[in-house]
Amino acid sequence: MRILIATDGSPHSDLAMKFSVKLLECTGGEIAILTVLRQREPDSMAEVIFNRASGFLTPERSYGVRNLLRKGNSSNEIVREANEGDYDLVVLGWTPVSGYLRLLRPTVERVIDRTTCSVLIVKSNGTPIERILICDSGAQEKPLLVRFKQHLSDLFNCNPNISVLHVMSQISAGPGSIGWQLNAGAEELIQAHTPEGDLLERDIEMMEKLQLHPQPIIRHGFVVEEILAEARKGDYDLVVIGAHRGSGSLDMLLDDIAHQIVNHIDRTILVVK
Amino acid sequence: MGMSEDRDPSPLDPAYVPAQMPSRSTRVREFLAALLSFLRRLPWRKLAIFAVSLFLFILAIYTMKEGAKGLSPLVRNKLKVDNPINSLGFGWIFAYVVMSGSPVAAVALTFFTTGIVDQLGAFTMITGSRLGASFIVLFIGFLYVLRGKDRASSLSMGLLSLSVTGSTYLVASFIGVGILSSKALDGIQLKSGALVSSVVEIIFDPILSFLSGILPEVLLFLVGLGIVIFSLNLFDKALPQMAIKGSQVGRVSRLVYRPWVMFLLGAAITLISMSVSVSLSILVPLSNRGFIRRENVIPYIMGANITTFIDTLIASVLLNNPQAFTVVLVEMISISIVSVILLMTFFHRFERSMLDFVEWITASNRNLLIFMASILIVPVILMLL
Repeated sequence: MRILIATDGSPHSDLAMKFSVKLLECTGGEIAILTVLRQREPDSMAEVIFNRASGFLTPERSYGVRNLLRKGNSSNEIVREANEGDYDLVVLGWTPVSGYLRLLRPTVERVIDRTTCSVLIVKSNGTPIERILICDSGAQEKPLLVRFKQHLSDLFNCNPNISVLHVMSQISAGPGSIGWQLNAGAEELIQAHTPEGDLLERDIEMMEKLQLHPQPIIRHGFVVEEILAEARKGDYDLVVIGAHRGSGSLDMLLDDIAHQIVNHIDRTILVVK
Repeated sequence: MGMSEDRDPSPLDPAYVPAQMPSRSTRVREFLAALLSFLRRLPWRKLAIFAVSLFLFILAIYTMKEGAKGLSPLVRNKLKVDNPINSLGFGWIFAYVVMSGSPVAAVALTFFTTGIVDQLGAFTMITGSRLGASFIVLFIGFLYVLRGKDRASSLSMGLLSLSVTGSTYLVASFIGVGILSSKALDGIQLKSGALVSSVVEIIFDPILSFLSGILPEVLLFLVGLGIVIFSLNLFDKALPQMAIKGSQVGRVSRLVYRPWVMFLLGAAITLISMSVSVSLSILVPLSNRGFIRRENVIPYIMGANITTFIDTLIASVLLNNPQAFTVVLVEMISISIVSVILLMTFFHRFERSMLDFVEWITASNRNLLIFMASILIVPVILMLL
């Protein structure tokens, strides 16, 4: 697995490094540590940052580590390196932004929007990945798990406990609709072969081919709220969501659920492209 | 020398014969054929229904205006509708009785034109008509509950429509009263309004003269009210089949759209349907299970609540009363202001509170009873003030 870690020497970047090291213990692979300095900052700053980041690497293991220095706008340079370097994953630390500063679009959001590979945003201390919550909306042409398997299946090497969540935020549009489905659990919907049940069943079958046995979960409520609630309730180490479907008319029409979840979730999250 | 069969003749070739331009008569024939093909594809039945409904709507407005004069003693003296607050209650209850808001809004304008209510009274009566209009969606859901269907799925949409309408109109009414009192919009009028109404009067005056010759004023008003209700129902039959099901926006049951998109969709669909209940009923066939995403429904209702006034705006033009036009314009602008501010600021909190409220109502029969009692008692109390 080829991982690009963007670091600026801040405590948030340290979390990203720690998490990436834990990740590599499961997946193996190579790391590229990217530092982006402003044009006027001296190159010597990069060496300080690289040394700090390298301090998190486990000396006993041999990693393929490359140190990369760029100068310019941080999000542009991260995106450029990510897209040109054929990485499987970009790892970023999370810097909380509040109030009117949100209007300026944080680096994390810009990187998620413009990279072609998946992005991992580290928000918690580097605990081992033992519990993963995969949130499948079923709304995209290429299923989330198919995309996940293509580039990130090594994440399952640690044999984590996996749950697959689908949120039904539907309500009845008029009297006479099939009301019971709006309160049903995962097993009921799977047995009744509803669209949501079929989605979960498909995901379970896909995971069972990888010798994994996920727990299907259905929640009813607002999509963002229910994902956040389930993540807290299950105390997951990693939450996996699909990226916003963002091109052309769809980008304008559809709400950007992915960004809302990334902004509000309190644990590490993986946005799959 | 002859032409080769394998190549087109060159213009320099003596045997070359240039292609001839089609003659004028051929062009005319082709044009007529295209026109005929276009005319054959038109939905003539729906266009005829639309024309009839429009004719009847206009007739109804004039009939009610003529007959409203006879209602003044009943409305002002017996029912004591003489201030903005009891006008609000009156419009609300009236909309319950006729199961629709648009006819009551049209009545409000005719009452204003004939001096039965003043401008503020007309404004609040129209507001009341919107509060009562949501009842029809709720009533249909209630019938399903009585037939044993699940309470939440039968009533959610009606309750949501009523709650969103009530909460936004409550705030909008204060803004609207302020705008009306300031007379800031009095100068904004349709330039062709007088022309339209004078042309229409030429067509309808003979019919009106005949009807007022044979019917007393009160009956004339009731006939007009009946015709306006019938014409609006007829208009619903003239609506084109909504083709949005197959489009990107037709997946409102599966995808989560931006609130602004759903807001504009609700406004656009209601601009054509002119009825919030029709616009809501369109959501049902968009999913073969009759579902819609929570995130999509409230902005849709908010958008629908703005353009639902289009028929009332038309009525105000027909009445040739500039102040009536201002009343409707202020209604639309005040609800737009509230909706836009909500969408831009604390929309999610509003959305959450509306859905929590609906869930509370449908949680038990007791809560449902409390809610139903309050929406019946409150307008009665308002009328007594």
